[in-house]
Amino acid sequence: MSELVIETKGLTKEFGSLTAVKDLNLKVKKGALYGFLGANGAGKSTTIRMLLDLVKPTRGNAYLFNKDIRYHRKEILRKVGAMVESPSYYENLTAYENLEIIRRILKLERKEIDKALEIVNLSKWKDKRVKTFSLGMKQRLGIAQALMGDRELLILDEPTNGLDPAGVREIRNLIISLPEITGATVLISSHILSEIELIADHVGIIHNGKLLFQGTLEELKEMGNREIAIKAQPLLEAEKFLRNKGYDVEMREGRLYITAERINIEEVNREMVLEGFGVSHLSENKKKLEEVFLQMTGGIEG
Amino acid sequence: MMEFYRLLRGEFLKQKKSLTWPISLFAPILAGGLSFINLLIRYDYLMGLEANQGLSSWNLLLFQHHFMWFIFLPLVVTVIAWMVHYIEFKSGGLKNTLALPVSKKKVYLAKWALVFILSSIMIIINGFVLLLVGIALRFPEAVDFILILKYSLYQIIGILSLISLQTLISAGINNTNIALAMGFVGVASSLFFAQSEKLAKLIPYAHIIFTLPDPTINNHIPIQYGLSLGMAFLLIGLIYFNRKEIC
Repeated sequence: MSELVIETKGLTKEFGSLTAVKDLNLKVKKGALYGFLGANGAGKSTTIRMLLDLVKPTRGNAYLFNKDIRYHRKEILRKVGAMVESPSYYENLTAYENLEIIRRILKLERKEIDKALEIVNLSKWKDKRVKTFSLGMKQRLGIAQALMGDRELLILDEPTNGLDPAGVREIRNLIISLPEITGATVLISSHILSEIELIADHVGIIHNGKLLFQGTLEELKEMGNREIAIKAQPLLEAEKFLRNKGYDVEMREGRLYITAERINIEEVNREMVLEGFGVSHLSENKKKLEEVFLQMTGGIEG
Repeated sequence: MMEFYRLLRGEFLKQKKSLTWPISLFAPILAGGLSFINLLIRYDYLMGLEANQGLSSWNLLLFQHHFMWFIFLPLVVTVIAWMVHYIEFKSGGLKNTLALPVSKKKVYLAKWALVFILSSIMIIINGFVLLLVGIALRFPEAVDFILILKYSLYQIIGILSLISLQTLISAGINNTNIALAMGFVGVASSLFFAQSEKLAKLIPYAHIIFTLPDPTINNHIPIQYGLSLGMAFLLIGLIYFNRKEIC
């Protein structure tokens, strides 16, 4: 089993009567590009804040690099670069000066600033005041801040928030390239399913503070019911036959549709042909990730 | 200690190209300039008043200057404390600073220290400006260094309580504008509190009023209470900030 960079055990956060995060058991493997997906208010930011010790959990523990953040905060945070909710920047300063603050605090060499600016493609604008930057440039600066100092784990909270499609694409490509450039494990949170689908290799879905799914993107796609479309003659008899076999059958537009969690398409074909039906079409409709997500979260998407 | 120093350097950099430095540098120059004009026009009249009999020219300058400065200084310090925290409020920088491997207490302490340093610079410049005003007005007496030194020192100690209180309020309330408003109300009402020495001891906004070195003014208030309340509020702030959740 791969080494875990993040592991939470029963992590819970309550704000008065509101449970923002409930019994969360998150597992992020080393080297993963982990997409933390959930609607607005699902508990993503609260979880990230607990991972960074900005907020104390009501119950449970958060382990980063196999150490509890509450007891090894500084040691852990030395390895973690984060952009929490929105990039923070001092508008009166240049991009370089903003990174200089981090450099001074972390006691890094000056070349770290140039390196981070290079990665996020801001070198050309390093001496421009941040207040003249577009939102996309500000987001890149936020990512550059998180990259300062060879971090082993990058936590990026909604890094594409508020960007136009071109900006989203730019940040997405940057994030995808990060594990290769920096060697870091990346946890990215988002409420946009399509973003996570394009970026992440591992996914965690949080809804109403609960982790509904955790695994690879492929595993997620395999989740939920599958559907087989059949065109057979005679149709009504075929429907009756399949029902008798215990399948959940629906007839629409001259076709039969079977839905089930586990279904063997070859087995269905064989049974029908042996029974003498003329099967002219048989196909598996894979559910789109969006449908799986909606099914999982009860039809609510952020 | 090195971590605190690094954080403090970061705090100084954050204020680059902001109004904090110009305010700190020009506030005492402006106040000194007004005192210069005041005495340039009214020196003979003021020295002739019965109430001012026995005062040296330097005493008179400080008296006249203090009528304005006791309200001007706390106001400007309140604004500086607000600006130091507002820059974080505006940029959302605090959560990202605290996501770095730094001590929360030292982050708080660095902000407090920045306000204290800027306030002290302002007070020291004020002392120099008063010196220049006296020299420019060609006072007949020799320069009273001790008087100006005492005045500046009492202020540096007396302002501690206000800095600690404003830093605590600014860190405690997410909307720093509320902290600024509270500071303004405190400073504006300081003269009322100062009418009762007992009450004035416990009100940080009133401590500066008692920093004028004069036998009729209880200078123990800024020294004892400015220092003790300053340390107490600083300690409370450190404990509070260390436990504060950054939502």
